[in-house]
Amino acid sequence: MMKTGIRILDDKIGEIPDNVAVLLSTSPGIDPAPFGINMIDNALKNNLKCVYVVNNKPASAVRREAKTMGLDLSRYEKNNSLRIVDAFSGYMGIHSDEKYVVENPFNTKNILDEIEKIEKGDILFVDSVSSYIDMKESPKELLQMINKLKEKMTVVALFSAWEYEQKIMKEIKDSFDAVLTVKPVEEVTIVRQFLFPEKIGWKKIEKFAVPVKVLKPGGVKVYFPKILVTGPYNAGKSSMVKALSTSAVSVDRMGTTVALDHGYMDYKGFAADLYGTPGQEDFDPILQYLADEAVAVILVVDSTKPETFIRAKEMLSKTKAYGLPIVVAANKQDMSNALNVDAIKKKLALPGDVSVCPTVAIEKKGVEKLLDELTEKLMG
Amino acid sequence: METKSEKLLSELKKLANVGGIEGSAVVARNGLIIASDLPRDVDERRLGAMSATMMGAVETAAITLNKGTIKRVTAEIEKAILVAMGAGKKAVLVVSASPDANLGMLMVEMEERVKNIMEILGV
Repeated sequence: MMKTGIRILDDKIGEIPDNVAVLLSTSPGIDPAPFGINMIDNALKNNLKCVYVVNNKPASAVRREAKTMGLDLSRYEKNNSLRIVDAFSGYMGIHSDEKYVVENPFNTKNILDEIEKIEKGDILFVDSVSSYIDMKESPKELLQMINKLKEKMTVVALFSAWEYEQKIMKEIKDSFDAVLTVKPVEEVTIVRQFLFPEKIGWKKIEKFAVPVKVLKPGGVKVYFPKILVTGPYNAGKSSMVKALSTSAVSVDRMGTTVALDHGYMDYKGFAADLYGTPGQEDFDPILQYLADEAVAVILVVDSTKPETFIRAKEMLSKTKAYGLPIVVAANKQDMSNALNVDAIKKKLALPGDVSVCPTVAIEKKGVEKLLDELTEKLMG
Repeated sequence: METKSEKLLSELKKLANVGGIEGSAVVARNGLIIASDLPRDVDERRLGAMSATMMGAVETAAITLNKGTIKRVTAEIEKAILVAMGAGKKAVLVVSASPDANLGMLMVEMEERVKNIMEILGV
């Protein structure tokens, strides 16, 4: 049993059972390796033993890639919970200093022999099916090998979905118990990556997509490129960005934001970039840039100043926030004259299902609840 | 077939061959990174957000002055020159160069790239 390590996906597809084969397929231009490496790291953290067979780059490139993702594989290699099998040098006809080497990667029997030399692992990663097809033209023997191996261990195979013949694509996808696909989705200006479970053999699931990004460092995260933090002057927006972020900067003069607060949030497997706007009306002309293409909004209000709520609502409309998931932070709840959440909800009278969370941003109080509300709203 | 991001990246790679240029990025006017070729230690998402804000603020200042539109914003930094040049309505080309880079050459190169970037983005 293992998990992918990607939130939402794990929640919906459940644990990957033993003795199944999973295909991780990515569109051309998206390297599947980081997704595989992230999965390995997650499996290793859960004390599973992994074998990684790589036929399209030197083993050192796998280690390097892991390093740029901020994942340290070396300690797992040292205690033998991870073994990297070099099926690349043999193909290139170059010498290899690796411990596990497949001399002739064209021959699946040769690969199989090398894997069988190793004491039984829990999960086998094959990187990649596409490179094998490029060498051999037909995936048949490799698929047979995977089918045989999955009787002993869970197999995760990586695949770059180049424009192969329909027949080959079908043959590959049919032979796996599950197919996870990563595709680019073009938005207004940027391109985001989404992970779709195309087929899950062990569980009936509804169609869904998870926005993902390979962060270096950070690994694969459920990622939102822009969450807007807005609200009236002196409501505590910058403090909120700082409280929510693992790292944050502010462009401010005398404590007032004049351009933008930028923070990076990493919470329970969710990652997002936070854009905090200035609150003063003088800066309204740049609000439109800051707010454009945001996927959600955190509206920060000063709970002691209901007279600023009109401005708060004006900012929501200036940032075109209506229609996006909105969570209200009722800030400065530690003040004696702070209105309670229900009173604020009533006074703000925002349309739809808007949650109001009590917070004290400078003390980081209430921010976890706020993030839980937000992530729940984002994933619907 | 090359994707949009790959095409943009190859435009940025051309800039890397120009003397003095240390990194470049195509940033949406809203701060999100469209493509980048920056040194590893640079936080690209933060640079994108800040460059777009800088561009937006100067543009607002220009409108306030009533003196037409801006061509580019140049920031002279202790150990770098940062240039942001509009690339159509949606994007900005941002380049970071060493302080002794040939500014004239750099501008010419940037203008050339901007033309192609606009074409790729279809604006």
